[in-house]
Amino acid sequence: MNAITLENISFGYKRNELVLSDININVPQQSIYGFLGANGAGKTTSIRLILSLLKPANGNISIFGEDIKKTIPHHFNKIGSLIENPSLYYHLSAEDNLKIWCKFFKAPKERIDRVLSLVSLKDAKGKKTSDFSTGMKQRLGLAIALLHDPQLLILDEPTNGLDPMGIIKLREILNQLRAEGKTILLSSHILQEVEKLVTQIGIIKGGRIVFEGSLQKLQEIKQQNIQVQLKVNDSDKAFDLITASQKSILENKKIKLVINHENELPLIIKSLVNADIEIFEVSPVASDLEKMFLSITNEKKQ
Amino acid sequence: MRFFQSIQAELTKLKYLPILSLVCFALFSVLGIVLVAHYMDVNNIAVLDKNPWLKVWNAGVGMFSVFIANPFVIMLISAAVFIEFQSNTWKYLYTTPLSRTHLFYSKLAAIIFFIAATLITLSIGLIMCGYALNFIFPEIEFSYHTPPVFELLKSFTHTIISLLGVIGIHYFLSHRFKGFLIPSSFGIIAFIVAIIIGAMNKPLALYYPYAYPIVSQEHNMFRTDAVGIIDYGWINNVELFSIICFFFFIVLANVLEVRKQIN
Repeated sequence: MNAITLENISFGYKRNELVLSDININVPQQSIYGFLGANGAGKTTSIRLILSLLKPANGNISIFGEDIKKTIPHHFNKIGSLIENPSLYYHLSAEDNLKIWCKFFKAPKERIDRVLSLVSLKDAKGKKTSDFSTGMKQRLGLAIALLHDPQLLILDEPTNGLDPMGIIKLREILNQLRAEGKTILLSSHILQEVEKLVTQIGIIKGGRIVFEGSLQKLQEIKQQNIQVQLKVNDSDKAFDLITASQKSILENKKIKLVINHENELPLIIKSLVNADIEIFEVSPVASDLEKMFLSITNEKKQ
Repeated sequence: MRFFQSIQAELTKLKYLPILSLVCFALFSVLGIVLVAHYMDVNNIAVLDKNPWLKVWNAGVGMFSVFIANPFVIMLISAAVFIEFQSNTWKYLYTTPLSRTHLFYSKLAAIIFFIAATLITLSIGLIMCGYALNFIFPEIEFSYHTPPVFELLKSFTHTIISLLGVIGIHYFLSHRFKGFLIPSSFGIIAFIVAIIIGAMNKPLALYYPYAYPIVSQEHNMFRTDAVGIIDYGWINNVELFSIICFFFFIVLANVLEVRKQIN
C-alpha cells in the first residue's frame, strides 16, 4: 500500500486551462520521495491537492489506501505539512505558536519540547517569532509539522532560506524520521539537495509527470547519454577519429562527445591510444542529477 | 471538548494584539467619562427614593452601546480574521483534523466570548466606578443601595444581541476580503451612518443593522420613540432582526468558506 496515490488527477484554476493534466503519483510507505520540477511546473498545486486545499477536476487521491474524500478531515491526524514558507503567528512566541497547533491537533503538550529539541530551537522557545531568522522560521515550521507525530510528512521546498548548515541539519532530521518509519514527500527545485536524501523520485514538467521511479532507475538512465570531455595532445586528429563514429564537438582544444552508455568510453579511449594520441584528461560534463533532470525535461519538450 | 480546545487556541491568537490596547482604551474611556460626568453633575444623581446605581448603569451601557460597541466589534473581528491572512495560516488550519465548519464556528465563538468578557469587565468597572463616587460623595448614598447587577447584565445582554447583526456582517466581510483595511473601513463608515440614522429618530433604523445597538435600548442620548420598536417581552423587534441578520451572514460565510479553494 502506498502512502500517497494520485490517479489521473487533473486540475485547472480556470476552466479549460489545466495546470495539471492526468498526473499519477505513487509514494511508497517509509520512503523519501523527491518531487522535482522547475518553478511553475505544478509541484505546489499537486501538494495542495493532496492536502485537499484545492479540489481536483478529475481523478482520485488516496492516503494510506483510503480515498481522501471519505476520510477528510480525519486523515490529517496522519499528515504533517510545511507548504512553501512557514506560516507563523508572528506576534506570538515559538512556544505559543506550538501551543495553538497542539490544541488543533490534540497533541500532548510534552511534544512541544520534543519537537523544539529536534529542530534545535529549545533555547528560543520564548522568543517572538517575528524576531526569528528565516532559517529559524523554517525550522519552527517543521516543528509544527512534526508536532502530532504524523506518519506522513509533506514538505514543499523545505530548504528555502536555509543556510548550508541548516540544510545539513534538515537532511539529518529527515533521515532520522525516515529511520523511524515515516514517509516523506519532499518537493524541491534544488536538485542536488534531493539527490542526497531521496529513495524515490517524481519529476513534473508543465503539469505532467515525466519521470517516476526509484533513485536506482534514475541512476540507470543517468548512465545513458553521458557527456564526456577529453583533453588530448592532438585534438584535431582525435576529433576526426571520434567524429567518424560519435557525435562530438571541438571547443577550446577540448573534445565534447555524447556516449549512449558508459561501456562505450573504454572503446573510444582504446581507439585514441591505438592512434598514438596521448590522453591528458577524461571528465564527465553532465554527471549530477540537475543535468539529468534538465535532459529529461528537455527530451519531453522536444 | 474539542470545540472548547479550539476556542482556547483562538483566544491564544488574540494575545498581545494591538486590539487589546484598543479594548483597554475603550473600557477606560467609558469608565472615565461616566466618572467625570457624575462628578460634574453630582446633584442630579442623588434623587430621593431612586437607586443611584441605575443612573451609572444607564450612562455606562449607553456610552458603550452608542459610541464604542460598533467600532470595537468591527476592529476585533477584522483583526481576529486578519491574523490568518497576515500569517498565511489558512492552509495549515485547513490541514488539521478538524472540519472547516468546526474552525469557522470556534473562531466565531472565541470572538463572542471576547466581547462578553469585555462587557463583564466593563460591568465590574462600573461597579467600582459607583463605589469610587460613593467614596468622593458619601451623601449620594450608593452604599445604602445594593448594586442591581442583574439589571446591568440584562442591559449588556441586550447590547450583545443587538450587536449580533454587525458581528455576522463583519465576520462575513472579514473572510471575504484578505486585507484588514477594507472590512474595517467599511464598518467605520457604516457606523458613522448609523449614528446619523440613530439621531434622525426614524423607522429607517429598523433596516440598518449598524443602528441596532444604538436604538434597541433607550439610553437617554437619542430620542428613539419614532423608530418603531416593538417589545415582545424579553426581546424586541430590532434584536430579532439582529439575530436574523447574524444567522443569514454566518451561514452564508460558512458555506463559502467550506467551498473555498486555498491557493
